[in-house]
Amino acid sequence: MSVRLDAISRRNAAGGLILDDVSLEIETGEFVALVGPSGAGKTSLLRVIAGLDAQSGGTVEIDGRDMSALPARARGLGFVFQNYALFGHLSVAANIAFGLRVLPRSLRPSRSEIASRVDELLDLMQLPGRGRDFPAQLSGGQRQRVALARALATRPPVLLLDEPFGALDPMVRKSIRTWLRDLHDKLGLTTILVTHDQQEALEIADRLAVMADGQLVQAGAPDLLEARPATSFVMDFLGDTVRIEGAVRGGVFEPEPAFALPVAVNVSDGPATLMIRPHDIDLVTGPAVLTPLATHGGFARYRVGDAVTVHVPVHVADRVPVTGAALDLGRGHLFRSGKSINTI
Amino acid sequence: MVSRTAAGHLPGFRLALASTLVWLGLIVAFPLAALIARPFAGGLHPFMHALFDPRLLAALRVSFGSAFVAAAIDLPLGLLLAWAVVRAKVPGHRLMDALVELPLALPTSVSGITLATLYGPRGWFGAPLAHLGLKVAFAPAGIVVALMFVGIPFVVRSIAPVLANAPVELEEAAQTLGASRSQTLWRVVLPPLLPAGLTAFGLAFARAVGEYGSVIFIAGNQPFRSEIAPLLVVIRLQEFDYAGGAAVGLILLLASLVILLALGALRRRFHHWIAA
Amino acid sequence: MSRVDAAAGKGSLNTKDGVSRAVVAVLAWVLALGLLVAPVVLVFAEALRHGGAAALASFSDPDAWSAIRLTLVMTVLAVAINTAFGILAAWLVTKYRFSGRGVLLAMIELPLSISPVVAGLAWVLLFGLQGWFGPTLARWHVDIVFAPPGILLATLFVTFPYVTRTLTPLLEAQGAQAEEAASVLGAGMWSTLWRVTLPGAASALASGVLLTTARALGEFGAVSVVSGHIPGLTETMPLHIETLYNGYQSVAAFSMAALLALFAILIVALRGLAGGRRPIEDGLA
Repeated sequence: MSVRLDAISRRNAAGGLILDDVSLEIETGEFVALVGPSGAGKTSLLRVIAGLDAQSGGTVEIDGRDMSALPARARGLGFVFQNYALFGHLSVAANIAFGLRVLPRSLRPSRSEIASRVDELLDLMQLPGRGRDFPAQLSGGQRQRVALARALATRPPVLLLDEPFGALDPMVRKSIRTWLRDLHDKLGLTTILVTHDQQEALEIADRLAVMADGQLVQAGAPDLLEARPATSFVMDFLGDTVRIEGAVRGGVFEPEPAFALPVAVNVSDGPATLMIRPHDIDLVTGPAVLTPLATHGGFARYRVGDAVTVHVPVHVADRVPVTGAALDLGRGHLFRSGKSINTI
Repeated sequence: MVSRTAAGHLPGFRLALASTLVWLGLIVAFPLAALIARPFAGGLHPFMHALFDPRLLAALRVSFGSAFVAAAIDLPLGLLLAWAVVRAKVPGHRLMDALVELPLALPTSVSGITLATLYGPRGWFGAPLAHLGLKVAFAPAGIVVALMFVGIPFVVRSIAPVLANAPVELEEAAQTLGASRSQTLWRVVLPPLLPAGLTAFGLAFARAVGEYGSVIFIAGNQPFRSEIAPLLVVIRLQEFDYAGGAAVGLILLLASLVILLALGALRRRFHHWIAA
Repeated sequence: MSRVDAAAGKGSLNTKDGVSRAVVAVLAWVLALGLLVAPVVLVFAEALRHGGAAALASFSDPDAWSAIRLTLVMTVLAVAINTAFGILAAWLVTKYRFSGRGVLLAMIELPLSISPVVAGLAWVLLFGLQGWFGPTLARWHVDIVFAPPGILLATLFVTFPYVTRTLTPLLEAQGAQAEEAASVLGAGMWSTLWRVTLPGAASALASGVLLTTARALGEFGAVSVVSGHIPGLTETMPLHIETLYNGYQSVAAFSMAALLALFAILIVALRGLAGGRRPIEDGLA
């Protein structure tokens, strides 16, 4: 089911703006990750969608229906909390069945239907036979899956996940991530995931919504964000960057460092910043001293001058000019006061 | 009995152990030994005789019965106060938190004469109640009122920290799963308080069973009706019936030990709830 | 506040919910005022029923003075003894691990759950006329029961656990590293305890001492059994209150009660200042 956020804003108790005019549309079946540094407003936005916090302005529509005035309990969305928020006094099975047992009598499935739904979910979560255990007896990864099963028991059309992998160790994290994506596809869910880990978001989501300071900076598929970052923040957030200051004069970006080559651009004159991924830099013969650094992950690393690090794929490393180098920045992005002004 | 196995390398173990054992032995173990041995000084028969004295049985019934009722009433009242102090944070909750401590700090004879006056036939509460035909002071109900007063701090102090530390996410999770406010209260908020509630009940009950000072002024102290067991100890001693007094004392001691053990066992029963 | 704010509300129960919070506030304050505050107010109202002069006049009775003196002496002694030994016991059970530690802890806490009357009874069974040592003591003309030493022993018993009990959780949480570091640096036990352990536990210690003081000042049941109620000699303030009350000297009884209630209020306030009120660790039983 589609989710439409229109001009959502929210102020905290002290009056500070923690969500500032956020609009975002999420298609049915889409997997969207809300990313950004801590304090960007991702969790606040998720809580507004769930109905746990009230927005001070704007509307939340789910499948064309305005949910803004409905409390969380009436929205019927699945929500997985950062620390799982499992009910410690209830068994795993009772945790999962909770959403079904609190349904009004007329809608509530029979005891046997609930039991078989619980078993079905335990199998789906790869926790067969653990229904009688208590949450305290499970590992972190198992608790996470119980929380997911509990959220899915009532077959919510939309699943909201708040940093669900935060408390897991890195190995478990990686495997549960792909498993979650498979689950999303298998159940035909619409999923919104909050994470501060851009790598995780790039790996799992169809689309990323990058947030900063309560605002939505840019939303788009990973390759779109990579190809056309709207701001220097988006570019920075999504990976390692090299930042070269300079100025545009007569259709040419002239970098400040002497060892970087000018780049022909199509923008007006003025100061500008060029940002580029270390592996997008080409090394050509030039004046700068080249210091080899460690090789890692298929890239040979070099330091050029005294600040810039360049990653060169190992298989072309023999073409690096050892006598002295200059930077070819032809694949970089140009920004002025933080905003993208051109792709070169 | 005591030997050091894995102590650190701190100096002073022997000294601290010796002083603690001497102190504990002199002040606690020594008198308790007398209490345990004395009832059997003349063989088992006098003890059994004292034990099946109908007046003692009636006093035990009064003590345990009114302690149970008082602790049971204290439980919801204490929950309300704890909720008001740590959750609702009602206006003046800090003051309320301090007031809860008053029954603990107030000397029992002060509470005793005060409650007797307050609920007496001409007291602030007693007079209107008498008007309604309810007699509290100098009747069994007075015992319950006094025991409620001394017991309520234990309930609030046991429940408040658990309530304060309950994660808000649990309630939010219940909401996202569709639970109504009352379902959230009954299924998510209150059940985790059960272990603390049992502890609270046990502590209030244990205190109430042995309570003396705050009760004797208000109880009326009629044998077989409103005479509590601790008072019977005092009466037996005044009659120089040491064996009889010791028998009652030993039963009260055993009762408190049983309550302590039961509390420990109950707490262990709920260990699998902890830290989800 | 906008329409949506009012409708969606917070996810948790109560707190921000105006109506139910108001109901809780009213009910809780009615309960607190009726159950907790009314008795204390009544103490002062009864003491001052015939004016402040009458209340003060009741203290001119020599028996009242001797009760106050006896109570203060007993309290100072009991607090000093139980604080000194209580600190050592808390240090023992938190800084060392040894077998029998659990039993020791349980024994230390035991007096909390014993009826004060039973505590007094135990001393009478030891030192009373028909007690184990009664005849011996009588031969040597040593009075324990029905004399101040008995009152001290009874007070020591009922106030036994408080210092250890309030200190233990804190010292346990401190761990033993600081002490071990001090001992590696050559500090002996006393200087380690005095310079390393206690400074970090000052507020818990204060809380424990205040609890001990409160209980020692006000103990009735245990002292009542061992004292013999001899006005002017073995009557503490709580016992004197009983004598006055039963003798229909209501103003005098409530004046003495008001003095004790003032101490109690002071102790509650000081404990609030000392902070660190812990779960049930500090219940007076």
